[in-house]
Amino acid sequence: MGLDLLRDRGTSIERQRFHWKELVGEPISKLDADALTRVRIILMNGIESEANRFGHAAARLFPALQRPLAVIRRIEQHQQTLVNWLLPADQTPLETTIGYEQVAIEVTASVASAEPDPYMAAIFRFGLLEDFDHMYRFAALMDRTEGKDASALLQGYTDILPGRPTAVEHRHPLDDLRSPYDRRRADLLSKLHALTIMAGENQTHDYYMTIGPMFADPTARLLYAEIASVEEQHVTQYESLIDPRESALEKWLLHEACEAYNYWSCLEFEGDRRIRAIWERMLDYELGHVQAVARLFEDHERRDAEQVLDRVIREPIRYVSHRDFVRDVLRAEVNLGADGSDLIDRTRDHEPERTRRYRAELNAEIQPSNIVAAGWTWQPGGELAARDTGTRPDFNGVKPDQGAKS
Amino acid sequence: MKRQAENSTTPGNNHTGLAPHAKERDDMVRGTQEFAPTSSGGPDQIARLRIAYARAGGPHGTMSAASVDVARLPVLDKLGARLQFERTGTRLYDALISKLDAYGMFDGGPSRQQLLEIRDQELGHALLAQELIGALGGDPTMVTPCASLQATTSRGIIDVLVDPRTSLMDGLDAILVAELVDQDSWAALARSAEALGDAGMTAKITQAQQTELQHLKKVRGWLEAADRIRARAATEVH
Repeated sequence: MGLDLLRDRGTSIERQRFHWKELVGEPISKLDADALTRVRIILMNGIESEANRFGHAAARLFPALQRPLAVIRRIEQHQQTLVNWLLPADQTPLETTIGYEQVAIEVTASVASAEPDPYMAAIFRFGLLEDFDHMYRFAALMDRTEGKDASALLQGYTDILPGRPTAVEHRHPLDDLRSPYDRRRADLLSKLHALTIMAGENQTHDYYMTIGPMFADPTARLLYAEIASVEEQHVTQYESLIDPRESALEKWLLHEACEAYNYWSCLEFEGDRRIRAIWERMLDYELGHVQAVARLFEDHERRDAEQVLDRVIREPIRYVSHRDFVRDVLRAEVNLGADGSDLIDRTRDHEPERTRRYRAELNAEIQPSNIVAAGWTWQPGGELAARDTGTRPDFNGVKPDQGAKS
Repeated sequence: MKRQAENSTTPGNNHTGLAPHAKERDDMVRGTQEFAPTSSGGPDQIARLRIAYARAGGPHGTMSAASVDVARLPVLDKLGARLQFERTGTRLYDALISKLDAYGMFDGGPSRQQLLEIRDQELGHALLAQELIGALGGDPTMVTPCASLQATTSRGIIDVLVDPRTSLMDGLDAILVAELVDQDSWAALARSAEALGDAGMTAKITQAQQTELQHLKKVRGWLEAADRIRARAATEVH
């Protein structure tokens, strides 16, 4: 079974309705739900968040689209509410952060392994190793400031290991721009992949920017500031993969297709019956959106929507552990950097001077991600579970360090 | 009515432990042997950062510059905390009463009337704090530094009480924390008030502290009864 975006029957827009009670339903259990159910909820919030962001930007630029955008955008805002409100209140912002990074790792790994375009696949793998390191840093923060083990949220699906060190991920903005796919030649799956990962990274950036100042510990405030900056780089990177020559309506059509594709992927892998029913309903709604926007596209652009949505999708995002794939990428590509839109080997080629200067300035006084994970190795139950904590050193009168060295 | 002791006595589907994922756990541990930390040092790096920021920063808040005798400021700070804490406490008991209405009573647990009584006493204490702040020339609408700290300290209590998924017993566990702090805080306030030499005010505060002591005893008694119910429920499951 595949997903035929233009022919599979959805729910017509007139029949897409919500009431408050269903928008605010019972949340999943932090303790009992499968980690990948949490991953799907977080990603779909990001996908809907991107739909809202794009819809507003398009409405500001293209007056002819304002009315249909307003109608569909309102439905999608409510879809986002229904999905995001599935997260429980006892899941703290830091625990949710672990969930966000699990999204970034497992979903990007799935996309990278299925991506037909070798350049785009390399870019996904490049970003993957950076988010992989963010997981490690946040898990260290959780262990060292709260005494909690992040593996309780990951449930064995995802490793907690250093990736490409966050300290070296900081690049000049011009070294985060990549080459876009060609809208006329790229596979539909490549377009959906780029939109999916861009949406995930954008919501991660926005989430860290919102919750970062809610932390009291200076290390946490610093780490969120540092990683939010890298997430901004990732948004820059992934959005630059998308062909800017696509028309507004073509982009809107692809956004709706991306939403349908993602709900379909969730449905393919969901084991929780109640949540499955939500994915199924949302998929039907999205098919209604795709087909409504396809009609608009054909009316306005005088070309067939099948030129854009040109094939049945048979490759869902795979919600499984990608441990072996990620480790292989880690072994082979951890030393990569970027020079403009090209990836380079940092051990062999010099990174551009602009990036080296930019990074040196940011890391000059304090290096947050090195401090938080200095010498830290994940172990079941956290580092306190397996070692003698001994006595704490007395820092009275000692001049504080500037941060650990990479 | 919903079952009181379901959360802690019913075998369910908790996924957080690594024991059911033993293969994955072993894979994860093996991974740490191949991929070592990329920055040197230890947890003391975080401590050093905390110290540096603590030394460089200002206080989290101060009292207002209004024309109040400086000697009264510590008492006003603590009174401000009691005012806020008791107002929140009133709302906590409102939430606890909803738990009782949703989950029903249990043997040896509180009655609705008993919870209402404590709720009204918490409100009475808030009004007392408000009156005493006014009598000392303070501003009862000001959030004092101590009030802010206690609100941050007790932030999780209300989260437990208003979560529809927690039971009356869970709510009593949470309210114990509030009552422990409240009792001690009234005692501390009494000591500060004594230093001001106002016998009337000290007597009112001491009276409030005695009432809070009674709250604490009642909550502890209900929790002992809850533990007996949980133990019995667990036996029945087996």
